[in-house]
Amino acid sequence: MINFDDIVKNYKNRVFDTIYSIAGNSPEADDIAQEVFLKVYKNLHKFRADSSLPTWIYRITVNTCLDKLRKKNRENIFLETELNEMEKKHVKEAVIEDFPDPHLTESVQKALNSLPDKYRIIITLKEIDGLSYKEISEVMKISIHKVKVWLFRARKQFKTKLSFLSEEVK
Amino acid sequence: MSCKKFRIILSSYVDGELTENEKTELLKHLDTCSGCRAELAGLNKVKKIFTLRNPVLPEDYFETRLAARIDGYENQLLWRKYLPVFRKVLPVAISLFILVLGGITANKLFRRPSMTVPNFLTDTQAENNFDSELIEIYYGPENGQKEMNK
Repeated sequence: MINFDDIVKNYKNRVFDTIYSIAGNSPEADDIAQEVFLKVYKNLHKFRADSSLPTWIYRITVNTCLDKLRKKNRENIFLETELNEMEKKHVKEAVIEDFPDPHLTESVQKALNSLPDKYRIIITLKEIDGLSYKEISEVMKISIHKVKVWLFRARKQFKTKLSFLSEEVK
Repeated sequence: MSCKKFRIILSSYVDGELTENEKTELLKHLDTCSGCRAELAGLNKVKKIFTLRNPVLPEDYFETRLAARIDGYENQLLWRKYLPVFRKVLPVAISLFILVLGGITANKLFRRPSMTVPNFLTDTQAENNFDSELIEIYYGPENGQKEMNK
């Protein structure tokens, strides 16, 4: 028997980080995360072991995010996508020194915000959540071939956004 | 295979998602292609940026707020659970109320006025007193007594 409290305890940080990366806005991420866990609570009795629990939770997370993003697009909410000089400097230093920088999260987020929704989701599931291609295909309901192509394109666009790292990232 | 195709494969390579055959073919190509080697280095650094990123954590009291939201949902659920019963019972209750209210109103509108029966019609002593008073009024106090004794 799966305990809801255990699910919240084990997944809240991962789910929140995923939502932040996809939605790009912290207060909104909190609201979406609450909604995700409420959906998990409502539908836990329907969960079948034909998919793994993390895959199921990530699918709910991605779908809830997509609903919010659609709504956001309708409301024309603006997300920051441009890095200022200071942020570029922080990213460069972190990459060169190979050391986590507290400002890096925000800079990475701005670069992610510039990607189309599907690329932002796929790169999040891969790089932040560490899902396999099979798991990503189950979460996003696309073929593994599409996962490969979308990830390639997502990374290409992400790299272009960080082109100021050209000396480090070609 | 062209460099363009190898570059798509490179993305899967950094994720460790290539088959052994694809991997062997790619590694052979990388030995001879500096452009693809540079691309690989770039991809590895993109991956590195994500490993250097700090995860964003939920705000304080996340679980408390979630519990409140779940409580709200449960209450709503309770209301929804009893709503069909309520829907069935409500028309009956309204009908009964109207019936009772109608009964009370009709009773007030059409009730016969109550009559106060004078006590000398029911009480013999009171009747005698009443009679003697009448006789006294009619014959006067002295003659009245005589008339009474007749």
